[in-house]
Amino acid sequence: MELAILMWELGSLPAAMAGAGELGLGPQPWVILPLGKLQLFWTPGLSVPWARVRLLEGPWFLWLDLPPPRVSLGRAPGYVLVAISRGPYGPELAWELTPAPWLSVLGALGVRPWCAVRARLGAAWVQLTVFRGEGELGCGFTLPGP
Amino acid sequence: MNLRALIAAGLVCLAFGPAQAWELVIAFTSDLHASLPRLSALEPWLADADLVLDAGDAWEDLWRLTGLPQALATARRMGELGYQAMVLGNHEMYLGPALREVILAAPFPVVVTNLSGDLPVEQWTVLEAGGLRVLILGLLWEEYPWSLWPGVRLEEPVGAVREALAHAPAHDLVILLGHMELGEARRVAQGVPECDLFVLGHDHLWLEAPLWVEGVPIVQAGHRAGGLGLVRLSPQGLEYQLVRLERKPLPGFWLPALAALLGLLLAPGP
Repeated sequence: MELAILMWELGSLPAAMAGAGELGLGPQPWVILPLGKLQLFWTPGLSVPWARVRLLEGPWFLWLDLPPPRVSLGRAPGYVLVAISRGPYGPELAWELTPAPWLSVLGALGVRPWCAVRARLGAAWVQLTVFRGEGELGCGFTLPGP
Repeated sequence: MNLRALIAAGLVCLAFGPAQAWELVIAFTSDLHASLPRLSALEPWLADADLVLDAGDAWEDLWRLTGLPQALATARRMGELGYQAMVLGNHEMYLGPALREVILAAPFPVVVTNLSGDLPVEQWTVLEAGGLRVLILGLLWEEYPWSLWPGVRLEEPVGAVREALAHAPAHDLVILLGHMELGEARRVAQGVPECDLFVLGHDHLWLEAPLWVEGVPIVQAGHRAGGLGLVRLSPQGLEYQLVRLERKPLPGFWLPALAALLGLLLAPGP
Protein backbone atom coordinates (compact mmCIF):
# COMPACT_ATOMS: atom_id res chain seq x y z
CA MET A 1 0.00 0.00 0.00
CA GLU A 2 2.92 2.34 0.73
CA LEU A 3 4.08 2.45 -2.89
CA ALA A 4 0.55 3.07 -4.15
CA ILE A 5 0.21 5.98 -1.70
CA LEU A 6 3.58 7.33 -2.83
CA MET A 7 2.33 7.27 -6.43
CA TRP A 8 -0.74 9.23 -5.38
CA GLU A 9 1.15 11.79 -3.32
CA LEU A 10 4.20 12.41 -5.50
CA GLY A 11 4.05 10.25 -8.60
CA SER A 12 0.86 11.49 -10.20
CA LEU A 13 1.96 14.94 -11.34
CA PRO A 14 0.30 14.67 -14.78
CA ALA A 15 -2.93 13.42 -13.18
CA ALA A 16 -2.81 16.19 -10.57
CA MET A 17 -2.07 18.92 -13.11
CA ALA A 18 -4.24 17.75 -15.99
CA GLY A 19 -7.09 16.49 -13.83
CA ALA A 20 -6.81 13.05 -15.41
CA GLY A 21 -7.25 9.70 -13.70
CA GLU A 22 -5.07 6.64 -13.28
CA LEU A 23 -5.62 2.96 -12.80
CA GLY A 24 -2.64 1.12 -11.32
CA LEU A 25 -2.93 -2.64 -11.74
CA GLY A 26 0.01 -3.88 -9.84
CA PRO A 27 1.86 -4.92 -7.86
CA GLN A 28 -0.21 -2.69 -5.58
CA PRO A 29 -3.47 -1.65 -7.26
CA TRP A 30 -4.83 1.86 -6.98
CA VAL A 31 -7.25 4.13 -8.74
CA ILE A 32 -7.40 7.91 -9.18
CA LEU A 33 -10.89 8.93 -10.24
CA PRO A 34 -11.28 12.38 -11.89
CA LEU A 35 -14.44 14.28 -10.96
CA GLY A 36 -13.98 17.82 -12.28
CA LYS A 37 -11.80 19.77 -9.87
CA LEU A 38 -11.98 16.84 -7.44
CA GLN A 39 -10.02 13.61 -7.66
CA LEU A 40 -10.55 10.55 -5.48
CA PHE A 41 -7.84 8.01 -4.66
CA TRP A 42 -8.36 4.53 -3.36
CA THR A 43 -6.15 1.53 -2.84
CA PRO A 44 -6.96 -1.70 -0.96
CA GLY A 45 -6.37 -1.01 2.72
CA LEU A 46 -7.98 2.42 2.79
CA SER A 47 -11.36 2.42 4.49
CA VAL A 48 -12.47 5.59 2.65
CA PRO A 49 -11.10 7.22 -0.51
CA TRP A 50 -8.68 10.12 -0.16
CA ALA A 51 -9.53 13.35 -1.91
CA ARG A 52 -7.65 15.97 -3.91
CA VAL A 53 -8.99 19.40 -4.75
CA ARG A 54 -7.33 21.16 -7.67
CA LEU A 55 -7.32 24.84 -6.74
CA LEU A 56 -5.23 26.30 -9.61
CA GLU A 57 -5.10 24.68 -13.06
CA GLY A 58 -2.20 26.50 -14.66
CA PRO A 59 0.31 27.81 -15.33
CA TRP A 60 0.70 27.57 -11.56
CA PHE A 61 -0.88 24.37 -10.34
CA LEU A 62 -2.06 24.19 -6.74
CA TRP A 63 -3.77 21.23 -5.16
CA LEU A 64 -4.79 20.16 -1.68
CA ASP A 65 -4.91 16.53 -0.52
CA LEU A 66 -6.99 15.25 2.40
CA PRO A 67 -6.16 13.18 4.38
CA PRO A 68 -3.43 13.68 5.40
CA PRO A 69 -3.32 17.42 4.80
CA ARG A 70 -0.87 18.06 1.97
CA VAL A 71 -0.54 21.09 -0.24
CA SER A 72 1.40 21.07 -3.52
CA LEU A 73 2.43 23.83 -5.90
CA GLY A 74 3.58 22.92 -9.41
CA ARG A 75 4.62 24.34 -12.75
CA ALA A 76 5.35 22.86 -16.18
CA PRO A 77 8.52 24.49 -17.53
CA GLY A 78 8.99 22.85 -20.92
CA TYR A 79 9.19 19.09 -20.94
CA VAL A 80 9.42 19.05 -17.15
CA LEU A 81 6.72 18.95 -14.50
CA VAL A 82 7.83 19.98 -11.01
CA ALA A 83 5.94 20.44 -7.76
CA ILE A 84 6.86 21.29 -4.21
CA SER A 85 4.73 19.34 -1.80
CA ARG A 86 4.34 19.95 1.91
CA GLY A 87 2.73 17.24 4.01
CA PRO A 88 3.28 15.36 7.24
CA TYR A 89 6.68 14.06 6.08
CA GLY A 90 8.00 17.56 5.37
CA PRO A 91 8.78 19.30 2.10
CA GLU A 92 9.33 17.12 -0.96
CA LEU A 93 10.09 17.95 -4.58
CA ALA A 94 8.27 15.82 -7.13
CA TRP A 95 9.43 15.90 -10.74
CA GLU A 96 8.75 14.30 -14.09
CA LEU A 97 10.74 14.60 -17.32
CA THR A 98 9.05 13.70 -20.62
CA PRO A 99 11.83 13.27 -23.19
CA ALA A 100 9.42 11.59 -25.63
CA PRO A 101 5.64 11.16 -25.84
CA TRP A 102 6.02 7.52 -24.87
CA LEU A 103 8.56 7.95 -22.08
CA SER A 104 8.71 9.61 -18.66
CA VAL A 105 11.39 9.64 -16.00
CA LEU A 106 9.92 10.66 -12.67
CA GLY A 107 10.61 10.70 -8.98
CA ALA A 108 10.91 12.82 -5.86
CA LEU A 109 13.56 14.38 -3.68
CA GLY A 110 13.07 14.80 0.04
CA VAL A 111 12.57 12.48 2.97
CA ARG A 112 11.24 9.71 0.69
CA PRO A 113 13.48 9.79 -2.40
CA TRP A 114 12.52 7.51 -5.27
CA CYS A 115 12.66 7.42 -9.03
CA ALA A 116 10.91 5.57 -11.81
CA VAL A 117 10.82 5.08 -15.55
CA ARG A 118 7.43 4.91 -17.24
CA ALA A 119 6.83 3.80 -20.83
CA ARG A 120 3.47 4.50 -22.46
CA LEU A 121 1.58 2.94 -25.32
CA GLY A 122 -1.63 4.89 -25.79
CA ALA A 123 -3.38 4.95 -22.43
CA ALA A 124 -1.47 1.93 -21.12
CA TRP A 125 1.81 2.23 -19.26
CA VAL A 126 4.43 0.08 -17.55
CA GLN A 127 6.62 1.51 -14.82
CA LEU A 128 9.78 0.45 -13.01
CA THR A 129 9.96 2.17 -9.63
CA VAL A 130 13.05 2.19 -7.41
CA PHE A 131 12.20 2.92 -3.77
CA ARG A 132 14.39 2.17 -0.76
CA GLY A 133 16.83 0.31 -2.94
CA GLU A 134 14.23 -2.10 -4.33
CA GLY A 135 12.78 -2.18 -7.79
CA GLU A 136 9.04 -2.68 -8.38
CA LEU A 137 7.54 -3.30 -11.80
CA GLY A 138 3.98 -2.06 -12.28
CA CYS A 139 1.50 -1.31 -15.01
CA GLY A 140 -1.76 0.53 -15.48
CA PHE A 141 -3.80 2.96 -17.52
CA THR A 142 -4.22 6.70 -17.74
CA LEU A 143 -7.91 7.63 -17.58
CA PRO A 144 -9.28 10.61 -19.51
CA GLY A 145 -9.81 13.83 -17.62
CA PRO A 146 -13.14 15.51 -16.89
CA MET B 1 -6.74 30.24 -56.00
CA ASN B 2 -3.35 31.02 -54.51
CA LEU B 3 -1.04 34.01 -54.82
CA ARG B 4 0.55 32.81 -58.05
CA ALA B 5 -2.85 32.36 -59.66
CA LEU B 6 -3.92 35.79 -58.46
CA ILE B 7 -0.74 37.33 -59.87
CA ALA B 8 -1.35 35.56 -63.18
CA ALA B 9 -4.91 36.84 -63.22
CA GLY B 10 -3.61 40.33 -62.51
CA LEU B 11 -1.15 40.12 -65.43
CA VAL B 12 -3.88 38.90 -67.77
CA CYS B 13 -6.07 41.81 -66.72
CA LEU B 14 -3.15 44.17 -67.21
CA ALA B 15 -2.60 42.90 -70.75
CA PHE B 16 -6.17 42.53 -71.92
CA GLY B 17 -8.32 44.77 -69.80
CA PRO B 18 -8.60 46.93 -66.71
CA ALA B 19 -6.37 45.68 -63.91
CA GLN B 20 -8.14 44.19 -60.87
CA ALA B 21 -5.91 45.84 -58.34
CA TRP B 22 -5.78 44.34 -54.91
CA GLU B 23 -3.41 44.71 -52.05
CA LEU B 24 -3.34 43.07 -48.66
CA VAL B 25 -1.28 44.34 -45.73
CA ILE B 26 -0.61 41.69 -43.10
CA ALA B 27 0.87 42.61 -39.73
CA PHE B 28 2.15 39.77 -37.58
CA THR B 29 3.91 39.04 -34.34
CA SER B 30 5.19 35.92 -32.66
CA ASP B 31 6.44 34.90 -29.22
CA LEU B 32 4.84 37.86 -27.46
CA HIS B 33 5.29 36.02 -24.14
CA ALA B 34 2.70 38.11 -22.31
CA SER B 35 4.69 41.30 -22.98
CA LEU B 36 1.77 43.61 -22.26
CA PRO B 37 3.92 46.64 -21.35
CA ARG B 38 5.35 46.63 -24.89
CA LEU B 39 2.39 45.42 -26.91
CA SER B 40 0.58 48.76 -27.10
CA ALA B 41 3.57 50.34 -28.87
CA LEU B 42 2.74 48.18 -31.90
CA GLU B 43 -0.77 49.64 -32.19
CA PRO B 44 -0.14 52.11 -35.07
CA TRP B 45 1.11 49.36 -37.38
CA LEU B 46 -1.55 46.86 -36.31
CA ALA B 47 -4.33 49.41 -36.82
CA ASP B 48 -3.27 50.07 -40.43
CA ALA B 49 -3.14 46.41 -41.45
CA ASP B 50 -5.84 44.43 -43.25
CA LEU B 51 -4.94 41.28 -41.31
CA VAL B 52 -3.33 40.95 -37.89
CA LEU B 53 -1.97 37.52 -37.00
CA ASP B 54 0.20 35.86 -34.36
CA ALA B 55 2.35 32.75 -34.54
CA GLY B 56 2.11 31.51 -30.96
CA ASP B 57 3.73 31.70 -27.52
CA ALA B 58 1.71 34.81 -26.83
CA TRP B 59 0.25 34.09 -23.41
CA GLU B 60 2.98 32.70 -21.14
CA ASP B 61 6.51 33.70 -20.25
CA LEU B 62 8.60 31.21 -18.37
CA TRP B 63 11.40 33.74 -17.94
CA ARG B 64 9.11 35.98 -15.90
CA LEU B 65 6.97 33.12 -14.54
CA THR B 66 3.77 34.85 -15.61
CA GLY B 67 0.43 33.49 -14.50
CA LEU B 68 -3.16 33.10 -15.65
CA PRO B 69 -4.10 36.79 -15.14
CA GLN B 70 -1.35 37.87 -17.54
CA ALA B 71 -2.43 35.23 -20.06
CA LEU B 72 -6.03 36.43 -19.98
CA ALA B 73 -5.02 40.09 -20.10
CA THR B 74 -2.76 39.47 -23.10
CA ALA B 75 -5.48 37.59 -24.98
CA ARG B 76 -7.98 40.38 -24.38
CA ARG B 77 -5.50 43.12 -25.29
CA MET B 78 -4.67 41.28 -28.51
CA GLY B 79 -8.36 41.39 -29.33
CA GLU B 80 -8.49 45.12 -28.68
CA LEU B 81 -5.51 45.62 -30.97
CA GLY B 82 -7.27 43.87 -33.82
CA TYR B 83 -5.70 40.42 -33.86
CA GLN B 84 -7.81 38.14 -36.04
CA ALA B 85 -6.19 34.72 -35.55
CA MET B 86 -3.29 32.98 -33.83
CA VAL B 87 -1.83 29.51 -33.49
CA LEU B 88 -0.95 27.90 -30.17
CA GLY B 89 2.70 27.67 -29.19
CA ASN B 90 4.40 25.35 -26.77
CA HIS B 91 4.19 27.99 -24.03
CA GLU B 92 0.42 28.07 -24.34
CA MET B 93 0.47 24.33 -23.65
CA TYR B 94 2.43 24.96 -20.43
CA LEU B 95 -0.72 26.66 -19.13
CA GLY B 96 -2.36 23.29 -18.62
CA PRO B 97 -6.17 23.01 -18.37
CA ALA B 98 -6.36 26.78 -17.75
CA LEU B 99 -5.56 27.17 -21.45
CA ARG B 100 -9.18 26.33 -22.27
CA GLU B 101 -10.30 29.38 -20.31
CA VAL B 102 -7.83 31.63 -22.16
CA ILE B 103 -8.81 30.31 -25.60
CA LEU B 104 -12.48 30.93 -24.84
CA ALA B 105 -11.67 34.44 -23.59
CA ALA B 106 -9.71 35.33 -26.74
CA PRO B 107 -11.92 37.41 -29.06
CA PHE B 108 -10.44 35.81 -32.18
CA PRO B 109 -10.09 32.22 -33.42
CA VAL B 110 -7.21 30.09 -32.21
CA VAL B 111 -6.27 27.83 -35.10
CA VAL B 112 -4.41 24.54 -34.79
CA THR B 113 -4.91 22.43 -37.89
CA ASN B 114 -2.89 19.43 -36.69
CA LEU B 115 -4.44 19.07 -33.22
CA SER B 116 -7.21 16.72 -32.27
CA GLY B 117 -8.62 16.39 -28.78
CA ASP B 118 -10.30 18.32 -26.04
CA LEU B 119 -9.20 21.89 -26.77
CA PRO B 120 -11.58 24.51 -28.19
CA VAL B 121 -9.43 25.37 -31.22
CA GLU B 122 -10.41 25.76 -34.86
CA GLN B 123 -8.96 23.56 -37.60
CA TRP B 124 -8.97 26.57 -39.92
CA THR B 125 -10.59 29.93 -40.30
CA VAL B 126 -11.38 32.04 -43.38
CA LEU B 127 -10.89 35.79 -43.00
CA GLU B 128 -12.27 38.32 -45.46
CA ALA B 129 -9.85 41.14 -46.17
CA GLY B 130 -9.36 43.46 -49.14
CA GLY B 131 -12.06 41.60 -51.06
CA LEU B 132 -10.15 38.34 -50.70
CA ARG B 133 -10.94 35.18 -48.77
CA VAL B 134 -7.86 34.22 -46.79
CA LEU B 135 -7.64 30.71 -45.43
CA ILE B 136 -5.68 30.62 -42.15
CA LEU B 137 -4.17 27.33 -41.04
CA GLY B 138 -2.10 26.75 -37.90
CA LEU B 139 0.53 24.21 -36.95
CA LEU B 140 1.81 23.38 -33.48
CA TRP B 141 4.98 21.41 -33.14
CA GLU B 142 5.29 18.56 -30.62
CA GLU B 143 7.53 20.42 -28.18
CA TYR B 144 5.30 20.57 -25.12
CA PRO B 145 4.80 18.47 -21.95
CA TRP B 146 2.82 15.62 -23.48
CA SER B 147 1.91 14.01 -20.17
CA LEU B 148 0.04 17.18 -19.22
CA TRP B 149 -2.27 16.67 -22.20
CA PRO B 150 -3.44 13.04 -22.21
CA GLY B 151 -6.49 13.94 -24.31
CA VAL B 152 -4.62 15.78 -27.07
CA ARG B 153 -3.01 14.33 -30.18
CA LEU B 154 -0.87 16.12 -32.76
CA GLU B 155 -1.02 14.95 -36.35
CA GLU B 156 1.88 15.05 -38.78
CA PRO B 157 1.91 18.71 -39.98
CA VAL B 158 2.10 18.32 -43.77
CA GLY B 159 -0.56 15.60 -43.83
CA ALA B 160 -2.82 17.70 -41.60
CA VAL B 161 -2.45 20.75 -43.87
CA ARG B 162 -3.09 18.73 -47.02
CA GLU B 163 -6.19 17.22 -45.40
CA ALA B 164 -7.40 20.69 -44.39
CA LEU B 165 -6.80 22.10 -47.88
CA ALA B 166 -8.87 19.29 -49.33
CA HIS B 167 -11.86 20.12 -47.14
CA ALA B 168 -11.53 23.87 -46.47
CA PRO B 169 -14.07 26.27 -47.96
CA ALA B 170 -13.28 28.24 -51.12
CA HIS B 171 -10.47 30.73 -50.63
CA ASP B 172 -8.14 33.03 -52.58
CA LEU B 173 -5.02 32.93 -50.40
CA VAL B 174 -3.51 30.51 -47.90
CA ILE B 175 -1.59 31.75 -44.87
CA LEU B 176 0.06 29.27 -42.56
CA LEU B 177 0.77 30.15 -38.94
CA GLY B 178 3.40 27.77 -37.61
CA HIS B 179 4.98 27.41 -34.20
CA MET B 180 8.06 25.26 -34.71
CA GLU B 181 11.81 25.34 -35.30
CA LEU B 182 13.00 26.77 -38.60
CA GLY B 183 14.27 23.40 -39.86
CA GLU B 184 10.85 21.84 -39.35
CA ALA B 185 9.21 24.85 -41.00
CA ARG B 186 11.38 24.35 -44.09
CA ARG B 187 10.22 20.74 -44.31
CA VAL B 188 6.57 21.79 -43.97
CA ALA B 189 6.97 24.51 -46.62
CA GLN B 190 8.36 21.96 -49.05
CA GLY B 191 5.24 19.88 -48.54
CA VAL B 192 2.80 22.79 -48.95
CA PRO B 193 3.99 24.80 -51.98
CA GLU B 194 0.54 26.39 -52.44
CA CYS B 195 1.01 28.32 -49.19
CA ASP B 196 1.20 32.06 -49.95
CA LEU B 197 2.76 33.10 -46.65
CA PHE B 198 4.22 31.15 -43.74
CA VAL B 199 4.29 33.16 -40.51
CA LEU B 200 6.61 31.39 -38.12
CA GLY B 201 7.20 31.55 -34.38
CA HIS B 202 9.28 29.73 -31.75
CA ASP B 203 12.92 30.52 -32.57
CA HIS B 204 12.66 34.26 -31.76
CA LEU B 205 14.36 35.08 -35.06
CA TRP B 206 14.43 38.61 -36.46
CA LEU B 207 14.27 37.73 -40.14
CA GLU B 208 15.27 40.80 -42.16
CA ALA B 209 13.96 39.22 -45.36
CA PRO B 210 11.61 36.33 -46.16
CA LEU B 211 13.22 32.93 -46.35
CA TRP B 212 11.99 31.35 -49.58
CA VAL B 213 11.46 27.58 -49.60
CA GLU B 214 9.90 26.05 -52.73
CA GLY B 215 8.30 29.42 -53.49
CA VAL B 216 6.87 29.75 -49.98
CA PRO B 217 7.99 32.88 -48.09
CA ILE B 218 8.73 32.16 -44.41
CA VAL B 219 8.74 35.23 -42.16
CA GLN B 220 9.37 35.73 -38.46
CA ALA B 221 9.53 38.92 -36.39
CA GLY B 222 11.40 38.35 -33.18
CA HIS B 223 9.85 38.10 -29.76
CA ARG B 224 8.35 39.85 -26.75
CA ALA B 225 6.68 42.61 -28.79
CA GLY B 226 10.01 44.16 -29.61
CA GLY B 227 8.76 44.66 -33.15
CA LEU B 228 6.54 43.16 -35.80
CA GLY B 229 6.54 42.07 -39.39
CA LEU B 230 4.61 43.72 -42.23
CA VAL B 231 3.85 41.90 -45.45
CA ARG B 232 2.24 43.61 -48.43
CA LEU B 233 0.76 41.11 -50.90
CA SER B 234 -0.43 42.25 -54.32
CA PRO B 235 -0.52 40.95 -57.90
CA GLN B 236 3.01 42.31 -58.22
CA GLY B 237 4.28 39.98 -55.49
CA LEU B 238 5.37 40.35 -51.88
CA GLU B 239 6.97 43.20 -50.01
CA TYR B 240 8.26 42.61 -46.50
CA GLN B 241 9.30 44.97 -43.74
CA LEU B 242 10.65 44.09 -40.32
CA VAL B 243 9.85 46.81 -37.80
CA ARG B 244 12.02 46.84 -34.67
CA LEU B 245 11.22 49.15 -31.80
CA GLU B 246 13.37 50.38 -29.01
CA ARG B 247 12.88 47.75 -26.35
CA LYS B 248 11.87 48.79 -22.89
CA PRO B 249 13.05 46.23 -20.34
CA LEU B 250 10.36 43.91 -19.05
CA PRO B 251 10.05 43.27 -15.33
CA GLY B 252 12.05 40.14 -14.61
CA PHE B 253 11.59 37.38 -12.09
CA TRP B 254 14.78 35.38 -11.79
CA LEU B 255 17.18 38.28 -11.24
CA PRO B 256 15.21 39.80 -8.33
CA ALA B 257 14.64 36.31 -6.96
CA LEU B 258 18.37 35.54 -7.12
CA ALA B 259 19.20 38.87 -5.53
CA ALA B 260 16.72 38.21 -2.72
CA LEU B 261 18.18 34.73 -2.17
CA LEU B 262 21.74 36.06 -2.09
CA GLY B 263 20.65 38.81 0.28
CA LEU B 264 19.11 36.23 2.55
CA LEU B 265 22.24 34.06 2.52
CA LEU B 266 24.73 36.91 2.91
CA ALA B 267 22.78 38.89 5.50
CA PRO B 268 24.63 39.17 8.80
CA GLY B 269 23.24 36.92 11.49
CA PRO B 270 21.60 38.14 14.68
